[in-house]
Amino acid sequence: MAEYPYHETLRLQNFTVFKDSAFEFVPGINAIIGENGTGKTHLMKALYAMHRSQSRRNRSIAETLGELFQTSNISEIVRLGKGKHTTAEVSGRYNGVDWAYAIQRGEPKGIATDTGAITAERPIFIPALDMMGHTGGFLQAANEVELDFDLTCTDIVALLGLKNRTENTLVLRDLSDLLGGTIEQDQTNGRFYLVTALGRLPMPLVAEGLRKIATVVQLAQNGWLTPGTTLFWDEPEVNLNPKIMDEVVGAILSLTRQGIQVFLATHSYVILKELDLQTQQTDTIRYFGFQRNEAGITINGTDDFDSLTPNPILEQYNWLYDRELTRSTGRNRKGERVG
Amino acid sequence: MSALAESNIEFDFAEAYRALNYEDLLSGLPGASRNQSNTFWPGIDFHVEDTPGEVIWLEVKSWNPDSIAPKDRGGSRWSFQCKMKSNAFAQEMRGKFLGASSFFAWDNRDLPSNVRFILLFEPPHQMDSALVLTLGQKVKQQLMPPKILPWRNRINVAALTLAEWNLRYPDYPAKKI
Repeated sequence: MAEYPYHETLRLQNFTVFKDSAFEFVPGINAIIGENGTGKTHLMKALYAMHRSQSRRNRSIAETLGELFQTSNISEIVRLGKGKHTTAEVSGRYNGVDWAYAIQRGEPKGIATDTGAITAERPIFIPALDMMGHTGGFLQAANEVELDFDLTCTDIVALLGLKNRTENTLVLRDLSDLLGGTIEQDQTNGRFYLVTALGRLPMPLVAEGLRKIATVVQLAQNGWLTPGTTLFWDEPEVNLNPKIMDEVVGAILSLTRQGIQVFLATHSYVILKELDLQTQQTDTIRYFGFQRNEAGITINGTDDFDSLTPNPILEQYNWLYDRELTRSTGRNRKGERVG
Repeated sequence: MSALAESNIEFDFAEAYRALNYEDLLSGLPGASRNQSNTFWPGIDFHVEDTPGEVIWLEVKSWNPDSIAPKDRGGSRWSFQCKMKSNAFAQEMRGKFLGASSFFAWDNRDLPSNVRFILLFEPPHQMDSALVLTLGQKVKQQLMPPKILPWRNRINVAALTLAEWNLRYPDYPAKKI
């Protein structure tokens, strides 16, 4: 039994690209791998929608889903295809409590109902798009006009700007060192700055990869990334040089060791290999390989990276390796002379 | 001679146009003696003529952990990769390649029109294709310093495992002995 609450299971039925998929998660890292369009982010949003609406009861599941998927008609979330499905069902278990919600097709904007109430820390979703450099005036604008950003973007900006909630209990030394400075927010304009020995640098002038790291550091500093939180991180590798991936993965593992469940959707071989190399026996990690085929999306979960199939990232490397060897040996994998 | 062995791997070159143990070429030359460190003409393990003018220079590295002293193993899964990426290994590979080339030139043998330098290795740990691919690129960079740029078009470099060798060269099967 894990010390902190975590998402234990999930089932997605007729939800976006998923026909009927069931997942069992681990309290540590849940790494999701798959080609574009196989539903990696949708899985995280399905969980985030429930988790967020339950931990912040001021917004219904229908509103949350609409803002997450940027649609005014949540019927669009119900899976398209043969059979004309009328309902999408999402269910799972969090900290021993069963929960569920359903989305029904209906005019003009669909209907969503939820059951089961969980008690949870507010979840954190770091989108693939960097928001740390765009905090100035963003929330005010989002309140006044309909911005074309989904809820994960407005949520992360809001969380970054929240005042310190508790004393920071997380240790993120490696990431703080990578930044080379401390983070400050100007309360008058909402913008963030990186304060280094050389001066105060506005966040938009900081390299975009480092802004992703600054996001995690700031959330730990202001106490919203705290033991018991669920962290969803969509493509952490975006704009990050592979050279610093060992520190980033080390920090992610450090978070899980301090009681944070992590969901990662990634296309990065370096992240996966770092996870494989840095994981210790006491860590829990599960890899989920998503693949699209005629039956829809098939999923395979395993705790062993080497036995993960499908693994589209490694399949691409196999393809590159095959072509490289065919060129350099003058033979293909059937032993035939080529070129 | 069709069967040639190096480390713990044996090759059957019966189907090759010609296959030689490189050091046999040097027998009788000063500074070169079989089973001793060849300081005079360092070179590859095997010279295999796939067809006339098409040559495979084969270097075999088998990292059987049991045959390596614990102090040299480093006790780390990284030790193999550290060695492969080291300058010492780069210099050793470059020396073998250039030594063999120089010997052929000195001995008035025609340099083959095409050379495929193949590093066949068996790592102590499972390595996926991404790691082998980057390792192969590293070996290639080590063997192709800018100074030998004019030769580039005639030289191919590949790093591959025993399993991959048997797929690519089924006519020259290899096995562990």
